[in-house]
Amino acid sequence: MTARLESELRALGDLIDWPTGSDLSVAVSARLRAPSSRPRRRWLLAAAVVVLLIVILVTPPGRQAIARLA
Amino acid sequence: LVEGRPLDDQELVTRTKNGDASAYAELVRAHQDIARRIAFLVLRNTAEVDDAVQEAFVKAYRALPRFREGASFRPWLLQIVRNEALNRRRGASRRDRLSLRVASDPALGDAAPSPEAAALTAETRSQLLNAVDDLPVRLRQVIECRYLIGLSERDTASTLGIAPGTVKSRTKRALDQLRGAIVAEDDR
Repeated sequence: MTARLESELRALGDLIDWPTGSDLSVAVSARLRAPSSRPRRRWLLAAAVVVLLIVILVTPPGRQAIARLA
Repeated sequence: LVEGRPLDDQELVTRTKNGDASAYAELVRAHQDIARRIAFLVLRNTAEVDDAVQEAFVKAYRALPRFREGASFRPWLLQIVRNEALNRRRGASRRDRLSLRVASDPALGDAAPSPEAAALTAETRSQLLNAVDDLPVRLRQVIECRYLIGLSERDTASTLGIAPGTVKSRTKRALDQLRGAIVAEDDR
């Protein structure tokens, strides 16, 4: 009975209303050709951190805060 | 193509890694249908399937440098597709039930299903489909991958991120439950 059930399940797979669509390779290739925004975002974040550190080190309240911590 | 022979996944992956964009397009074409099925089984929403699959192919391309040489591409890809679909499904509570093609009824269309599929009566089909849909999710996933999509035990394990032994035991439990559900239905 197991073999029959397995065979029926496989047959059922043939009959399911699976989604179909157009060729995705065109859209995927276009996405891959487009410049990624991720590296740019990473650079912006790094630059923001550096600016923040400079502000903390240069301004008196920032230096005092560091001195207190030390 | 090499001397008229289609390139296999291994060759296409190597070519993609070496910067051949057309090789990756070939991989997308070769696996997009099965990827759509995997995404659909998770999302159960046809409208979202293509977006999820497209995103998964982009993520797979970016992860290719980490793809182990000599490993099988398809289960690796399907795992990425499944994860992408799972991420998109979070929050969505509605889940469509699986449905059968209208043309699968020989009386209604001229599609040519397999002989086994043609032999299934309409009643058996819907009974079986409902029984699969009502299985606990862990058991259902295994049945969907193994039988409805037709993945091997090993590919099912890789796609679902579980051990092959777990696939085997869950398959057995699921088949037992399906058999019980069908017998119970017949007894009514």
